[in-house]
Amino acid sequence: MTQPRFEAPFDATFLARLQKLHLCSRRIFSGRLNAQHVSRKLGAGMEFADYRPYAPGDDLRLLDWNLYGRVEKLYTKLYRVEEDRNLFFLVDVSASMAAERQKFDYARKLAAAVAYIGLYEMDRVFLMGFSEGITVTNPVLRGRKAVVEALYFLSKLKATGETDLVQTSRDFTRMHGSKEGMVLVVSDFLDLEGAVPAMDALFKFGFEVLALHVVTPRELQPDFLGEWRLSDPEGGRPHSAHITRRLIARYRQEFTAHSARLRRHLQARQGGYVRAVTSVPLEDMILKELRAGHLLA
Amino acid sequence: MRLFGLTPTEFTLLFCAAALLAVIIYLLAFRKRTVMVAADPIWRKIVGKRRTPFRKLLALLIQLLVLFLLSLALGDPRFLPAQAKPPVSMALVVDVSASMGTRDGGGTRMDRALDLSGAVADAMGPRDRMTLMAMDDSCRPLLPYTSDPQEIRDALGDLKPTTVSEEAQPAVDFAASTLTGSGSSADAVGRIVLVSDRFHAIEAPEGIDLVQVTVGEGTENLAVTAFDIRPRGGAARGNEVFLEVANYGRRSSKVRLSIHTATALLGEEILEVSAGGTTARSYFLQPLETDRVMATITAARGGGPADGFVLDDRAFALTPEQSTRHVVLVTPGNLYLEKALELNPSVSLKVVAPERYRPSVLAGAQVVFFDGICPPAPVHAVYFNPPGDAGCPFTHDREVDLPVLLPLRGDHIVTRGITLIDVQVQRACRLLPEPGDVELLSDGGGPLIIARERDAVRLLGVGFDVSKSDLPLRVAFPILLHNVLDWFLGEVAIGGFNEYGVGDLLELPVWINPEEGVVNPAGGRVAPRQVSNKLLLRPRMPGYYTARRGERRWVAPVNFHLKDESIPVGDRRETADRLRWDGEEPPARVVAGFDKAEYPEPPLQWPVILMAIAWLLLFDWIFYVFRILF
Repeated sequence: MTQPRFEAPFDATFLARLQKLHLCSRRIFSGRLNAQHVSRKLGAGMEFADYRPYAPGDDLRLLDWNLYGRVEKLYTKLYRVEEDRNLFFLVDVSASMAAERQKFDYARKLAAAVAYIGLYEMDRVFLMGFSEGITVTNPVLRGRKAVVEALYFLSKLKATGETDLVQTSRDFTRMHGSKEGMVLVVSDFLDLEGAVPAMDALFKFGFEVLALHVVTPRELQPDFLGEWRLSDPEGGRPHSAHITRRLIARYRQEFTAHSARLRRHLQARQGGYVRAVTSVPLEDMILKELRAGHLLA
Repeated sequence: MRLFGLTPTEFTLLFCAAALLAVIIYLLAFRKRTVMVAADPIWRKIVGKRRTPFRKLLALLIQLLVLFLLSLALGDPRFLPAQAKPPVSMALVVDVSASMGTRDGGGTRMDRALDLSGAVADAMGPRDRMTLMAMDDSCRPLLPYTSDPQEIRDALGDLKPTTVSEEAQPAVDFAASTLTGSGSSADAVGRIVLVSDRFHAIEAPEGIDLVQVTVGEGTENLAVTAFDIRPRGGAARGNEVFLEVANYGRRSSKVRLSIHTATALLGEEILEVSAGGTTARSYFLQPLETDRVMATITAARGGGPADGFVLDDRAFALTPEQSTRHVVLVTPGNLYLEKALELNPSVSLKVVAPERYRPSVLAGAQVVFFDGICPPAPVHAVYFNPPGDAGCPFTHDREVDLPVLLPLRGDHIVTRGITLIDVQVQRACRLLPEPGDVELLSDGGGPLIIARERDAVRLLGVGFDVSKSDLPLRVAFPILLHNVLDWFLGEVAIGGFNEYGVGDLLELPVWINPEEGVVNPAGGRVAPRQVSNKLLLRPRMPGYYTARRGERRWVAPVNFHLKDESIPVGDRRETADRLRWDGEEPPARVVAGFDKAEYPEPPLQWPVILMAIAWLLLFDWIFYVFRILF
């Protein structure tokens, strides 16, 4: 099994464009440090939230004098506090990600690009690799200077083992169940039975789940016909198949159904789903596809 | 159904080989390629437990069926009636030797043989097969086995009698070998029919029916069986002709014998030759401008052919070149030696007494005979009774009285054609041989005659005085002297007849250009064979073969002296397998098993089979497309 190379994933121009992007969240989480994200906490923020009657001890600078002029009652303006948030990156490092050379590389670059955006927004970034569970983790990263460390972590990942999304979700909730934040799962989601339950488990713990479904063109449209022995990169005994066009059509149908099921499930729970086809240039994927999927703004 | 194109064994081998190849290709194709698919769970879900479909095995079965049908088509299958007679495979061997050119009545024996062969071909049934072979001193197949009578008739039209004799046993053996591989069905009857003008003492090959049929009626033939020319002896000019005419017929005949050149008649005589007898004649010829002399016999009246077989009615010869051998005889007076040498027409003799002998006497001499003296000689020399003194090439060993002589060595030119075993010698002296000497005569205790060759000079030592033996009284004496001269100087051709005969192997002079070849009597060029350093030619027609290169010229008379061919009747005793044919219909024994009306020619099945193959291939192709698409 070949390990894709992961060297200098982005150039300066691309990084500059990433800095202008914002990772959208459908929920509001409470953070700990000031950052650029709106928090559930009300305080000295930039975004107006509500009024409440003045109480002694309120900051007089927050009194709305215009309203007092009209109704002759003192009201205090409430603003949302802008805090940091938790970004959990679950990067699939199972052997199936390395079945084709560009797939694993593409997944890591994708994770790196989104992590860069998060770090630039002063979020706390947790990078983890998973296969039969969470196999490798990195200490929390924060701040723009941590980008190098994030890239180093991603570059050291090796694809091996089978995919077990359920066990991964268990490991994750055991480790970070007490936290809030967004979970970005970068995977091929080829654990057909475990994908939906695993996502459910994450939702139950209050996480916002964003699925980046990494697929290759050959997975979408197989190009081999006739007698073949199909080998699973994650192990298992190879099995023979007489590949016909009709069988390929069934395969595509099944593949599409699996993707659609995952998409529907995530979207129904205010999660996000984007299919990342490796034939699409990474810049287009970041700047167009993820923005079109409202994951980035 | 029977196969006509292949034997069952060939068919089985062919199909098995093709099927083996197809199965190997199938197994190789069955060896699947491996592809790594990340989405293997999805593939497993949709493929399930389906294994290699039966469709692929069915494709192999279709291919095997196609191969079987192809093999069957090559085998030329035909459906035959259940009770059909076994077919006949016949090798028709036609004698084309010289005697087949004998004219009997209105036509030649060859014409009759062709008539018979054509009638046999016409009698063939549709399942019978026949080949045609020409037999003379070799056997040549003229066409492959066929069931088409017209094809055989066309080949018969090319047959003509040759000028050589026939060899029947090798021809029959060869025909038998072709019968075993003729591709006929296993139950076919193998038969060899030998058409000739006489029966041959040959053995039938095992398992093959051999029938001999003779054609021809004539019983008379005369031939020039000997023709020789030699120079007249002594001072007489011109040549002497000897010839012999034989009558191989059953009654006495008169013929006109002519001696002539190509342009002039030299003389003629009416000869009467008794049945089975010979008549010999000798004539003197005046010097001629040409060296080619022929003897021809014709009918005593009218000038037509003497008989139906003309090849042996003419003989060819060359007048010998006059060559003189200069011989010196040094003798105190031995008339036996002197007269015996003088008898040889090619010898120019000079007699010298021993006291007058000086080496200068030998100027111009090629050979010297010393009688009782033994001086050294610079030329070829014979020493009779050498005294063995100093300077003598031969040394005495021991003298013996009345020696008992042992048989001579017959492989030396000197002793060729003579025997001296009972020669009486009063007293002889054994000679001491030297390394390289050849002992030609001895008495058991030592050699009495020694041949020696030193520095291109040949010496012969005779250890006794011929005048004190009875050797001069014997016929062997002049022959011995003649042989000695031949050994010293080489053989002198004194005639051409029987030097070369049709079918003999001639060794040509090496100066002849093999590419230009030799001109045969018909004016055509014949290329000799080059074997190591020799040029060899096997003449096939009587007459003069010539070659020329610059000033050099070579002529060889070739005569027809094949006695077996000249005998007009030969063995004609009939038995069950030896039949004489003089009718119109071929003998029943020959055409047994032939039946043209046995059944009509069955329609060929192989076009139908090929059509089936085409349909199967189309089905297989559609099936293949179906497999890929769906």
